[in-house]
Amino acid sequence: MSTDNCFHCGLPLPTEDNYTVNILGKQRAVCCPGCQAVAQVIVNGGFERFYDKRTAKSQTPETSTDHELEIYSDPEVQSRFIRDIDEHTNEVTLNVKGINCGACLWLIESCLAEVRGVESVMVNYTTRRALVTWDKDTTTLQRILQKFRDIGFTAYPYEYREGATLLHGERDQQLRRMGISGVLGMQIMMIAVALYFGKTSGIAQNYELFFEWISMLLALPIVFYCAQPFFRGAWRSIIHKQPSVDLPVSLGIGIAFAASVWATITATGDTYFEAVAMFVFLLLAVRYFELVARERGLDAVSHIQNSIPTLSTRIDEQGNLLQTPATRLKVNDHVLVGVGARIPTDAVLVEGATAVDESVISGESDPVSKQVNDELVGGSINLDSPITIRVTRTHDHSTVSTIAYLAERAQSAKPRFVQLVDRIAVWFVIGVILVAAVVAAYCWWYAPERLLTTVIVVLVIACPCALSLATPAAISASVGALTRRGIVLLRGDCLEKLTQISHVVFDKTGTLTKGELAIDEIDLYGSYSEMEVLSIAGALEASSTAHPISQALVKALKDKNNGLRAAQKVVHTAGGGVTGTVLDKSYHFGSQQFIEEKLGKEVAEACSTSQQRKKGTTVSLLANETGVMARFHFSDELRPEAKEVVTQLKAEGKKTSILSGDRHQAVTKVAAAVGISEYHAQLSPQQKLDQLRHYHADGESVLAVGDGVNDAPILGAALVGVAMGSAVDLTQAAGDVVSLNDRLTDLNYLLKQAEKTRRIIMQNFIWALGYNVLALPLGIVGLVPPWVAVIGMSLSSLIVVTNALRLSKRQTSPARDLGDINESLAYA
Amino acid sequence: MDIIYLLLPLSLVLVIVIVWAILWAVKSRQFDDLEGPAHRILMDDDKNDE
Repeated sequence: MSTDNCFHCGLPLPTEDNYTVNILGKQRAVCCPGCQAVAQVIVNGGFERFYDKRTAKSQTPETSTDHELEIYSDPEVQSRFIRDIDEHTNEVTLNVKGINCGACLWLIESCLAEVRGVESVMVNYTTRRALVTWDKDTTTLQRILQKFRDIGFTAYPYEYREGATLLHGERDQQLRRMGISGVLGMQIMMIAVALYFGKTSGIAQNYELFFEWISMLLALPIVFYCAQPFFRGAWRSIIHKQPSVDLPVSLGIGIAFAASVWATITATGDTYFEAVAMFVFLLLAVRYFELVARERGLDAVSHIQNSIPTLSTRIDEQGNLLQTPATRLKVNDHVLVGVGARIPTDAVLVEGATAVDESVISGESDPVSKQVNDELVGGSINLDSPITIRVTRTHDHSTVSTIAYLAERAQSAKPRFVQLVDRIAVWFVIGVILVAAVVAAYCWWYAPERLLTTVIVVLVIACPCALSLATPAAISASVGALTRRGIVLLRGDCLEKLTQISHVVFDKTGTLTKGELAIDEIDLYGSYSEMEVLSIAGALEASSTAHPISQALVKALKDKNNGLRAAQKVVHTAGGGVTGTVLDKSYHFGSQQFIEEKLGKEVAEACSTSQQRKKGTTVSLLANETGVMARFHFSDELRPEAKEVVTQLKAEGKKTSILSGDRHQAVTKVAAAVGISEYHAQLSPQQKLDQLRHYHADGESVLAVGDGVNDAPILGAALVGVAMGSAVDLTQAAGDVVSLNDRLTDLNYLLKQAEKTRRIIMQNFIWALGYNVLALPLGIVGLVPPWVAVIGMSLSSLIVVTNALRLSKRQTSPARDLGDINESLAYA
Repeated sequence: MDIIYLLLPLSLVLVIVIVWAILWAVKSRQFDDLEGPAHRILMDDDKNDE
């Protein structure tokens, strides 16, 4: 434990301030008041041994306002999460952020148990969820959530959606089926080994029969209980006249089982119970692991999404301030919006002036200044100063909701996709069964003494076990590998779609760029050093933490390992700049216009607007009482990997383009930097959608990548939509794939993995089909004894599964793969 | 070798017990969290014994 890092969260210590807590008998330095408060609560509660036991540093506590939890006192909000156990007891499931090691479980469970009224707390380490029950007369959900915050974790109620519960029930059912078929199959296998020996070195007939009867007994539950989903799926596919893989699977199981039962009862010929058992078990296992991988992915996404309605401060006629969920605001309600808060719904400004960040809706990265009577879009963030707004549209009819509607509709217009490979398999199998029937008919007439052996051998060879394992095994292995890497597939068929992609469409802000401003360069005037002007500007902007420019300055200071100073007498001018005193000297920081006003003179020679336009950057000036000291150029920083990703896509022969809502200059600059020649700027969500349809009409298969609300419609409409991890809920839900770790390189990996999956599926098919086609004639002419056919059938399935497992091997950065998903779960 | 007539049915009884155990384990949510208990066992002690 180095002395330079926070004892609680491990971040570097600030240079100027000094916070300590007495932990485990020593004064320990921590990095911020947040960590100090949390550590103090842990120590005071008598849980300081947490620090002794933990194996990873804790998360930095999230700064929160006191009002944030008030939304949970609203009955309507509560009813979405809280379940009644009996008339006194309530239960809720919480997503908990910040669980990094086993000691966190201990800390949460023991601390929460001490809250009066809490009856039980169970933390699930795998899903990072806590199940809490409490006496509703003694305590409230709000108080429980507060307790989580006090000890440094952030908990959000987890909304049980219909789908999640269904998936859970299905998982249990599948687990039971797989477990039982495994246990019974093992027993049958053991007996089968004895029978194999009997075949080679002789066995008394009474023993053989006994073994066969026991095997049949054991196989009964496997066929009639464990294999039920396959039969049901096959029946459905017959009714709907849409052949699915369940059909050949059911035929295989049915035929092998029926033949074995016949052989057992009549005491003639061979039995195949072990083949049936192994087949059912393998298939169930493959499907189960696919389900688990998908469930883990959805869990990880649910930690990011949090469907909590925002609370807004409504001002009623008497001027009282009321906390109201944004969804319940009515037209003409007056609402107070603080600095850093989201505008709850579409509205006009009635009092105050400010700048807002509309990037989530428009894709435009620069703050937009707003005066009285200007329109505000719900979802944008208020940056400069508190304002009062008048609601013009209710939440359900706001711009964001309209885009959500657009996205939902776009999804139903997705290009049709046919899983060709599976169709071929189904028809092949039906053909083979027909051949077997013809052979049987032939034997019936011309060679009745060979009838039984031949028909059984033909049917066993034709049994499509390996064929029906080919696709699901490969897909399940692939989905698992991707999930471990933090790439979640929300829709199952997208792996196959991905191999057809010919055109990749990017959004700009937040996708090719980081979506946050960074300092491009600093022009210095006079005798000040870069460090000096940076720390002065940082000090002036320190108070407005939500503002992108302030964040850029703070980050630059942090990168240079310089602590943040605070300025005195700070005065904000909305949409313009800030004035304040640092070390007894007065400074101004802001737009050119603002500085000119303050200095009372033109500074045109210091900064020409044409130059600023050309570069597509935002410019702020720092001045003291006498003149301009420095000029800061900010621009939305390109993701470092963006160029490489685009280059690689081009090398693979894919077209690339940008569809952005941002200004022309900014888009041009980014397009040039990453090497994309086709780009469209200043598009509304509807225009983006039109452009995408245009691509589709040209016969291209489009993959869309995006993160903003304005990207949701095209993510939904594209053949495959990829949402970045930083994307808002709505956009993630519209996409087919979510990159949890928010890495653009995931895109290349995803396409490569899809291609590899396709290759493995093809190999599996060729193997399985080839085996069936080659062995069939041999079986028909009677060259294959039944027991060889059985071993061939099992071996064939095994080869297919082993081949598929190659997909789950970790290729790049092996050590990081698992860590990444855990990380994204822990910090999500 | 007649012992086989006793041993095999006996193994069937064992199978029934195992199947029951699986059903019980799924029902009582033993498979929900496969990592937590491994950690929990190391932490599970009284907070005041120092």
